Amino acid sequence: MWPRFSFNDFRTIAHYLGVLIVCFAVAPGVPFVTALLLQEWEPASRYLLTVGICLTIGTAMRLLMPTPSRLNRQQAMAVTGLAWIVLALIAAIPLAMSNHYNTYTDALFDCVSGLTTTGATCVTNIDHMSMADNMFRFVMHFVGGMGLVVVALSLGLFGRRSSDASLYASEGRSEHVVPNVVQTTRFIARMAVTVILCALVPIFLVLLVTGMEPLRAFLHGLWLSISAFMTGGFSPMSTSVMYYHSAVVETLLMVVMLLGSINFALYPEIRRGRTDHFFHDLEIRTGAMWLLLMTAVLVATLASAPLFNDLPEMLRNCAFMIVSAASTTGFQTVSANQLTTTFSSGAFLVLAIVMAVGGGAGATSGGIKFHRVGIIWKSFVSTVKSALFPASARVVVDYHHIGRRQLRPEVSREALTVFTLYVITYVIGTLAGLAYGYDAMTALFESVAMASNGGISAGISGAGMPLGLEIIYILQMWAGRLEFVTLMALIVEIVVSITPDRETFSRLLNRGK
Amino acid sequence: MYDRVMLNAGSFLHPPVGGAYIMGGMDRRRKKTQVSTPLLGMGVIVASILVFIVLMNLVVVVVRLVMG
Repeated sequence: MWPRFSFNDFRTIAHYLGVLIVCFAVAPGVPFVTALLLQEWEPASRYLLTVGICLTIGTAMRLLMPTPSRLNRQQAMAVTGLAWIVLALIAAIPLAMSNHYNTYTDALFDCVSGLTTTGATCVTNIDHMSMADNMFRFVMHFVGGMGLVVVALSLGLFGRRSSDASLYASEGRSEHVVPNVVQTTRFIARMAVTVILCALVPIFLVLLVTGMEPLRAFLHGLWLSISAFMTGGFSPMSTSVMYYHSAVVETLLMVVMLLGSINFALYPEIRRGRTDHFFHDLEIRTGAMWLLLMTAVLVATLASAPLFNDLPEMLRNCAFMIVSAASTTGFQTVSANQLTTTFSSGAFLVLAIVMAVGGGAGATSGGIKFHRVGIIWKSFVSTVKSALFPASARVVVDYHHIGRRQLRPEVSREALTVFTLYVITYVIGTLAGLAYGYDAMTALFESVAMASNGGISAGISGAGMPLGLEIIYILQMWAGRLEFVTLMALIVEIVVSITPDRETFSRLLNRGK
Repeated sequence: MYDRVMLNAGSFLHPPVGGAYIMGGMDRRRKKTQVSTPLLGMGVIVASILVFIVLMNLVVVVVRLVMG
């Protein structure tokens, strides 16, 4: 029998969602201050309204259960799963009121893409968007990349009564950098801010040297740093990173993207002087080998493409596109049009596969993750060994992840389950794209870009895309960010809760007689 | 000498067997390697990423040369 939510469960979930919504009022507060400083009065009014909406709805939801009980595992999953969509629904309000989105759904698509750090966009005329609106898009990247629950936990918003570990795990994170969950979340926040500030300085200087005005250079540097470290992919310009025409900016962004896609649990190991833990790690080794292999394949498939006739051009584009796809950032140095027309179908497929696999677990990357690919490879090794050795032999396969670990069946099972769920989601999205009449390769590429939170677009997602497909892509981004288990558990429990059980059903029938 | 023997023992002894001695030895070894600072740690990661990017570019050059 499936567990059900009681009425009190719903009230408790509503209370904690309310806490998150009240906390989220800070997010539109940042563009509000930006708008005031830059004298953008119309955006300022929109963001002030959104702050008010957050505070009103959040407080009303908190009052549904003024003294809530401690969150249990099911409730924690529901809070996390619903938070991602509820906050996106609110965040879409100020963007929908700007003149840059054709419909509210387009604005919602952008907000889900921003919060899940996908980076696909439905915005129109982005080059003339106000600084405040742009700031809000990157604030969403920051909050979403860190994790909504991680941000709330690091600020101590759930108090001592909440079930921190359940909330933390339900957001697709399983590893604690330090033993305490709150300390872990604070460590992640400190590290993110440090890296973003360190990246901002050189990017700002390069943009300044290339002739950009100081304020614009500063904001672009900040936004690109946030987008790269959070592996988001939003860019303040419609031509993405191509706009800057700078190999230095591209190299800096590659470093930041790779920093963002390394498992955060490995950073303290390096800090403690245990560099061997970093270089022996299954994830680091799998990732390095995978990226080198896929770079070679991409170059081979592009050798005859006219876009990359000269070697320097190829050097600049291949490594950048592979890093952008693997970290699931979604920055582009080739346009969507070039992707579909100039790229060979093989190169197109290579990029889709790299995006599908994604980056490191416990980082800001999406996709299946290097860790799971490494575990699946080790499981394969274990199976082959079992077949070769006598039946009485006990095959032990180990791997390195912050110390030596033995491969346990439940670890392999979890990796294979999530791998399968990702593949199923990629296929569903592709079928939806095909049903809407798109080319098979384009539909596959776009579906992978959404579910892996990669965000490199082949041209389907954008203003004027079909509404049905837009909703499917929103669901894919949501499911991919939460790595399915939280979302599926939430859907099953809600469906079971609203379906009358046998006793209630028979009682209703008897009353009818 | 005693520490070194116990340290070596730690590599094949099951941790619960004489755990206290072995852990003592491991801790001493760990102290020696704890010379890193946060800055140096990040430096190591950034340097290895830069080396990796150079490696990726080398792969591009090699494959391009092979493919003609």
